[in-house]
Amino acid sequence: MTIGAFRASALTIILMLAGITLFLFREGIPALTREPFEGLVFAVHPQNPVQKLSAEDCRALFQKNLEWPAVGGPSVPVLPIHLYNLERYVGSQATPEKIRVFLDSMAQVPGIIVALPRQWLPKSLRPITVKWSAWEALLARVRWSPTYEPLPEVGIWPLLLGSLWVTFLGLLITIPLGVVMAIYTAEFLPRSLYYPMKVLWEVVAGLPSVVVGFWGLVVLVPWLQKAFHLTTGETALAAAILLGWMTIPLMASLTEESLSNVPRLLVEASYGLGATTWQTILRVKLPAIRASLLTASLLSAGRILGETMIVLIVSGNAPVIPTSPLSPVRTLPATLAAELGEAPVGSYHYHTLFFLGLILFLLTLILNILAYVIAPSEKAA
Amino acid sequence: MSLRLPKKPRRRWGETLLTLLIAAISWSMLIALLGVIGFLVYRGGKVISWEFITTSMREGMQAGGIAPPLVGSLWVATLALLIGALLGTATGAYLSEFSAKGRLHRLIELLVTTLAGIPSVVYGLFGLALFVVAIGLGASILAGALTLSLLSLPILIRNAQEAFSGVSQELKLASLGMGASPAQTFWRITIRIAFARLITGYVLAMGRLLGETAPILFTVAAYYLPAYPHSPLEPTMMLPYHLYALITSGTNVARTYPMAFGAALVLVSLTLLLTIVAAILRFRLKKHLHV
Amino acid sequence: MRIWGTLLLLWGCAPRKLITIKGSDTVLPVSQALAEAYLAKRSEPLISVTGGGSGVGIAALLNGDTDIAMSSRPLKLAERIRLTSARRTFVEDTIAWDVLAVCVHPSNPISHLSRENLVAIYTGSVTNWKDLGGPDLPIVVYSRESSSGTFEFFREHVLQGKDFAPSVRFIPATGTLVQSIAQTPGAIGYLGIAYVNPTIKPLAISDEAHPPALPARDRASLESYLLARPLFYYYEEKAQAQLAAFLEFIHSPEGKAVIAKVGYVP
Repeated sequence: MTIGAFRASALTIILMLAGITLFLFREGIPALTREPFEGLVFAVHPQNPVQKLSAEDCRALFQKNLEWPAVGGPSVPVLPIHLYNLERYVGSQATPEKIRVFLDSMAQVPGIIVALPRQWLPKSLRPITVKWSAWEALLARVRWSPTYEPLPEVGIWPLLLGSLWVTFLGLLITIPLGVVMAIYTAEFLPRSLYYPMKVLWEVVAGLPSVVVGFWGLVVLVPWLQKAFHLTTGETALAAAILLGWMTIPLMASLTEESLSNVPRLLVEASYGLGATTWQTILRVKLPAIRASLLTASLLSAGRILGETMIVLIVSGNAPVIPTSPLSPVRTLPATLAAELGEAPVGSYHYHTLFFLGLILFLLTLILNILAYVIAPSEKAA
Repeated sequence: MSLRLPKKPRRRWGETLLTLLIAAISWSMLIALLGVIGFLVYRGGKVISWEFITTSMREGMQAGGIAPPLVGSLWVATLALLIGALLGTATGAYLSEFSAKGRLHRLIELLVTTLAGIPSVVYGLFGLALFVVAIGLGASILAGALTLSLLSLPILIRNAQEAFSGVSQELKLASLGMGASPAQTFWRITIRIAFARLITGYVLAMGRLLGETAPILFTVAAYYLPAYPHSPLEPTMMLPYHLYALITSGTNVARTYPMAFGAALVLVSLTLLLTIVAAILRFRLKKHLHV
Repeated sequence: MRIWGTLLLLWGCAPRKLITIKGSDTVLPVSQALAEAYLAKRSEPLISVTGGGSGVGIAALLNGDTDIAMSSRPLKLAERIRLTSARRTFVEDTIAWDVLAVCVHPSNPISHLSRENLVAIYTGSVTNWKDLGGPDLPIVVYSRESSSGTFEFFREHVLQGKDFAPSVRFIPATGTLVQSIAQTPGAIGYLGIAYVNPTIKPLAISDEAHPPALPARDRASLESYLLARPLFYYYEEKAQAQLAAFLEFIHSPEGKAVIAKVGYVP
């Protein structure tokens, strides 16, 4: 009976992973299959020869950044009207009657383009098709503006690259310092301080990230601003420094363990041949743990990639493609944390965020599986 | 630990320099930690008082205390730990004692390793989609606790596994040899010896859970709810989220910052205490077992 | 063992009257202050305030997840349609006015911008203060998060549909926004007047219909200021009875005093 219960518990682990994957896919895939303007019909004046538009052109028209002639329309001013800017014309308290009257009068304007639910569409206007390609919108665009109506910008590249950039910068700190600390602890630290040092690592790794982020905001960000003469210290570098520092214990403990487990035979042989401690480290031990170093780096990368609060507080939160360590960035987890509470369940924005979560999940999954494959004896976390 | 040379090996002066360098780098880590905590103590110490910990916030969170988020955090974390400990210890027991060490075992171990690497915000997403929306719990203590318990599972499973494996094989065999079933051996011998080690892991997990922010953002945290939880279906204030709210949405940042420092200090002190206690216990026990 | 079980059961079975207020982060400080003042005198019903943005509040109201949705913008036509098709009647209650201030760093000599200037800055066509008569300093543009009602109001009434330049920095919370502007000499940002403090400098705003005016602080000056908007509580008509005590408080002189203290116009 005991055994059965315990086996059932173990099976829930499988259920869990399956569940996470399932839900992420279930809520994320609609970002690829649905259109953000579901339920809306786009239409123009009957004398307007335009039959179809790409999503970008349509958006540009609505923003009045494009003129009709550029897409084959007549030389008249563009008049964009959609469900979400009707208020501008009829006020927010308008009755359905008043709205219909207004729309019918507007339908006479030759340059009009509308995005309205079918039941509100004036009969005289002619519907057009707007081509929305989810793949193109998500993967070929470089702007992230997911609440712009009626055609949101959902390019994920600024976020993805932001995440990768911060991770890369963070690893520049984590890997060298982690290896250094591991070597020191394994080889040179007085034995009595071994356990205290390991406790120290646990302490740093256990610090709540929101507290570290707060410290960074109050101390590190102003310092960066002064030191580099920036307009603001909220940058990828700030996030990378804090994240890199917090991940050092992970790198160090994994590396230290591997160092200690280098086969005695090799080490004794090295010393027997007259090598010094350092010669042994550099020429025997480090090469011997190459695979473990890679694993540890991958796991550290995964940890940094998934961090949320520190980035949210100090990285500037601008969804642009970073051009230097001193650019502000927006990462995948920070976007999720900042926007998820504000996206109504079931909206296109909601699904796009789950899509982002799916990408994050898959990225960390790949990193972890790679790590496991390269050195299966490594204990993660 | 590493195999080392006996004292006074051959050394070149370049190597001594190198050693000093990495020593300096390593200890600067400690200095950085002291710097962070020291700064928090300096700025937050002025605000901490008995009143701070036991009363609610006043004047738009610019004065008063942090009792509701503190209590809320403790409730959610404790509930999460209970759920996680139950499930995690059972799974760890299975992996260590009762599995046939075949393909299922390896699969589950792979999955545990995988789950350990998933970012906490993804757990938050999952918790939102499953507990809050699909099951319909809404933003509540229960939803938050369930989400956090999932987050803690990998740590707790591994902890349980190590704890049970650490019990001497001879004892287990002796018990079986005397006619006890594996289940009896487990309940009467293994778990009692591993108990201390298990507790250590629970304490560590509690420390981690108290500091988690991302998973609770959408599953339980309320911005303002100045009362102690009455039912698991209510939302509650939580300390990490309260800290974040103080940092970012107070209308008068100059006045809310002292409160934020106080909250940060309390949060850090709690996690620090739990982490250090757990770590010390763990290394003490390790020493004992390896004698 | 049995004692714990009973306690746990009791803990779960005792419901208490709880009013949930959810929605706009702009209205959040007002709701929190009102709730705090209300609860200082009465112990029931308990009030819970959560943010998340106007859109989330309204969606929650439709789902039945909240009693009051707070919103810094009126219901979108789309939402209004959803409400009427749900066949439930909702009450729209204006509880205060929020005045949006456009602020810069105190060292910035500029004291007035027109709507066209703001459009140029926020769409990225002007990137240096010297193009506006100010010092030779790059403009660092800040904005609220894309899902906040403040953001939408600004985009609708100032940018009138144009979208923000990608270099604009989106700040998830207003407190951070204030800090960023105060720390950055070239900064500009917009925020509710409640958050303005002496570390940042509000500008006078004008457009075709409004002469330059500093942010209004009372009802009378609301007319002449371009960026003023009503803040709403939405709730179901059926629930009016349960919410009566709190609603009464909000509209009482005491409540209005609280609102004014927080920095909004009652």
